Amino acid sequence: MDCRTLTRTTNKTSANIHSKGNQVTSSTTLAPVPQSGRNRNLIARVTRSWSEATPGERVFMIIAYVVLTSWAVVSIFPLYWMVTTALKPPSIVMSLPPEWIPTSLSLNNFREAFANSPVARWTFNSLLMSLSVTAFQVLFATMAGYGFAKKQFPGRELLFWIYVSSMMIPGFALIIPLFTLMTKLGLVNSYLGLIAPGLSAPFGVFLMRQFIQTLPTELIEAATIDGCSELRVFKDIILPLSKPGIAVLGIFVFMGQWNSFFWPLIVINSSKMMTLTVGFALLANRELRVNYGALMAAGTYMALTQVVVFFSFQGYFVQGITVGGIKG
Amino acid sequence: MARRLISRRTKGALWGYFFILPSLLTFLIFSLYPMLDSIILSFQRLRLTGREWVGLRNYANLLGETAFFTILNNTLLYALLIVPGGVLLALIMAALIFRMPTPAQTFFKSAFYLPVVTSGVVLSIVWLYLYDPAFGLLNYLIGQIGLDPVLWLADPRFSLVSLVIMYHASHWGGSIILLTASMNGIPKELYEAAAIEGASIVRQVISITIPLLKPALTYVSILGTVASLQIFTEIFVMTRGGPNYATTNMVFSIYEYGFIRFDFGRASAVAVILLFITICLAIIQFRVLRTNVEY
Repeated sequence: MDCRTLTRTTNKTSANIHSKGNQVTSSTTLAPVPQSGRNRNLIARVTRSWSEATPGERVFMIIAYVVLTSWAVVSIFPLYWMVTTALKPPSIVMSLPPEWIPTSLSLNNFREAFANSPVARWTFNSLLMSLSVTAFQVLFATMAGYGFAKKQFPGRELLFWIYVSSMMIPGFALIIPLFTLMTKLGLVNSYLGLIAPGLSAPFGVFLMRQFIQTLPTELIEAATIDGCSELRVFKDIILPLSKPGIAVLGIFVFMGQWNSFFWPLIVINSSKMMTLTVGFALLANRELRVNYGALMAAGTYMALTQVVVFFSFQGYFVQGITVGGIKG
Repeated sequence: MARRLISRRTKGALWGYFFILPSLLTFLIFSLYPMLDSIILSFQRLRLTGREWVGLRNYANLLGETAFFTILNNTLLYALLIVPGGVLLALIMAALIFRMPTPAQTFFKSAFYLPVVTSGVVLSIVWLYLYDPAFGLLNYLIGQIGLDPVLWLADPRFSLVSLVIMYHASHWGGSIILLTASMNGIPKELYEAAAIEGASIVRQVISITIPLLKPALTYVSILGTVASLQIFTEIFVMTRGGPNYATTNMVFSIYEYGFIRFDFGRASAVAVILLFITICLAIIQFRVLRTNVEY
């Protein structure tokens, strides 16, 4: 078998290995999906048998639902209120007693929020920053994750240890030196300045190393013996097999960048270079102060991307949240 | 043969360096170098002509400001009001979710995580509205039960607590999901055995769940502490640190010293002190929570 046929068969069987790789990660992340027979039995014992449940168990279940539902209301209501307020006609927004469920809808709050501010440009800036940081981080982290997981080289353990321990460095500690660095490089108020600090990704490297470690080394060895170049192995074997890990990392990086505030606030100083978060945060303090209809419209517009991404990739979120908990 | 083996190994090592190189370079330039420079800057003053060593003067100036102690106090107060209560809240929610059927689990997890994915700016402007003294829902609701309106964000007695309430309402989704996942990892036989011996659900939580959950609890509590020490967006959008420093924490004062007064030396001194506090609190929690973990 030459290199080409081998990589082709790899792609064919990759789905198979994916599911295997997934299982390994989820068990190491302490997050087995609660579908196993035993698990279901236990849950069934608590839930199905309402008629056979002891009074104590019934009380527990009622309390559980009441507490969880109340907290879910506390958690979601502000967002519900934001969206419904944004969709109300501006004249009704401030009326008290409040209209809990809007009776008539209007887009005038959105018009007001978008008037006089370059929202299209801000959206473009946010997208450009989030997508470029995500693309570069995923590429760099997958490469480094592969290097740390499957290659032998002096200093590997030490370097990886430095990466892992720097994952805990809080962002605030780097803001001032990063700003002076960007000043020196002449990158203040530029896209490069906005994007560059996001390219350092110790967490991404950690995540991808954990993931790539679960891939079978034999496959890489076989490909090398069959004459695949190193780059070919990376492109045709590692990248396709790492897709689930890449998805988790990509989603988290994208969300983090889209929401990021401190760095864009510092490094950008002209209105047309701002991201959505900075642009609207400054409007909330100035032109749109107490114009709550327009502010809620701005918030709804910003949150839309996140909510769509969240509901499209829910499964990956659980994996991403639990991956850090491995080592406790 | 031997020579070929060695050269292959060297080649492998070189490819190893090749693959980590882009990540290593960006890491050195944008994480490690700023980290070290932050410490150096705290002993310097930035002039137009360059950097000038000033010894401990940035720290001395900081300690000479009365506002600094208010700020230090606020920073610790945020952590104290956020972390223990929040971890307990996440633990209770996870313990309740964990016994639910799968559809209910999915629903509640999504409900708790949704505010986490919307940005700090979005949440801040929504709560700015909820807290508005004249048009906000909170004052409307407490008015319904006969209480006087409260200046949630403008009254120094309430402003920090108002930010903490908002924080609790929207930040614990990730921790709840993580703790639920960890609870699912605990062997079911333990619960079954306990149930046969007649242990109540509360007893099961105290004697089985909590001890076996320690690694996850440590993680949640340390991450929660680090996050609570660096609240920024909410303060920036909602109170600007006011009224009269009542909500200013150290991160917000880094912003003020650095980018309002352009005193990078003093801002770096605050950053170094805060970094020290963060590391100390993380180590203490690690030591306290990590004892007697056995699976």
